[in-house]
Amino acid sequence: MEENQSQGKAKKIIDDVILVEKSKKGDKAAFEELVKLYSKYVYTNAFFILRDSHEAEDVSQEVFVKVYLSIKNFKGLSSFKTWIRKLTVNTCIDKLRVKSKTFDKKLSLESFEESYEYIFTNLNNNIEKNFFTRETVKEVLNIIMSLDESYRIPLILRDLQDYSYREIAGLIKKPIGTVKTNIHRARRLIKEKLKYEKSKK
Amino acid sequence: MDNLNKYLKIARNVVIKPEESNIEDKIINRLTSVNENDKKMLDDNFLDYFKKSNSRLFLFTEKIRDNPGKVTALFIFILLFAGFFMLLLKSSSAGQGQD
Repeated sequence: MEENQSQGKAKKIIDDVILVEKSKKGDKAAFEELVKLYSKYVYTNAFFILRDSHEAEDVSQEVFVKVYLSIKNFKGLSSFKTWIRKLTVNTCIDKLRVKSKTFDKKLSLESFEESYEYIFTNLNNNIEKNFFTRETVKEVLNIIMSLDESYRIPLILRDLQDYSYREIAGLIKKPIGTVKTNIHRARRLIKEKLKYEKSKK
Repeated sequence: MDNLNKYLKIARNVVIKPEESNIEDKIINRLTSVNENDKKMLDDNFLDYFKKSNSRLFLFTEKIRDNPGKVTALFIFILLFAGFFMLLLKSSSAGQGQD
């Protein structure tokens, strides 16, 4: 099973490399293919951080325009997925910085009432086929989305995006110690809320 | 904690269905109207990141900085291996001297 998954991943990376190379030469169809492959991924990453569907959509468009304008000079030292993910996160963090200067954070937290639907993309995996597991993952994501920004963003960057503590500290301009503490607290909060939800059922 | 890690690992493969189901078309449409003004989007922050993501040296040092434990372990392993190799050489040359 794991071998199949890693083979699939390797094939995907090769496909990406081909599409990126074609896009660098100005092949618009290849670039559109990249958009089709990664638009939901970019949108999801932006939505997790910004918690606003319209803003996530704007960021998605902005990110792809940036990629479109700069892909010619992309050397491919990291995978396309990593590149576009980091670009999305950077763009979102910039937006949050501007937002935090203009809005009251508490207000933005209370006004979060977005509805959204999760799609599991790796259904070859047996674990993901399990209904209970899928429901728990949805619950975990809902709890993450309800967390305060100071907990939510470091946790998303660390546990969903694979950023190092050092990178997160640099991005959100907080000391590493604070980042580690906030991630630890966020995980504890998720566990407590999960337990509470289970006991209610 | 292990369970939470398991769910978070699965959550990495989850995407959100955009409110606008045609987000791909919207992006592709937007790309047809890209003009000189859009180059302003490539601001200093972007250019800084772009430069770094295209630098082998930067990516290599980042890897080292993110894994100081692994680098130290590797360094110690190399030192130990070199020490062992030297010892082996010394003992074999001492053996040859006795012969």
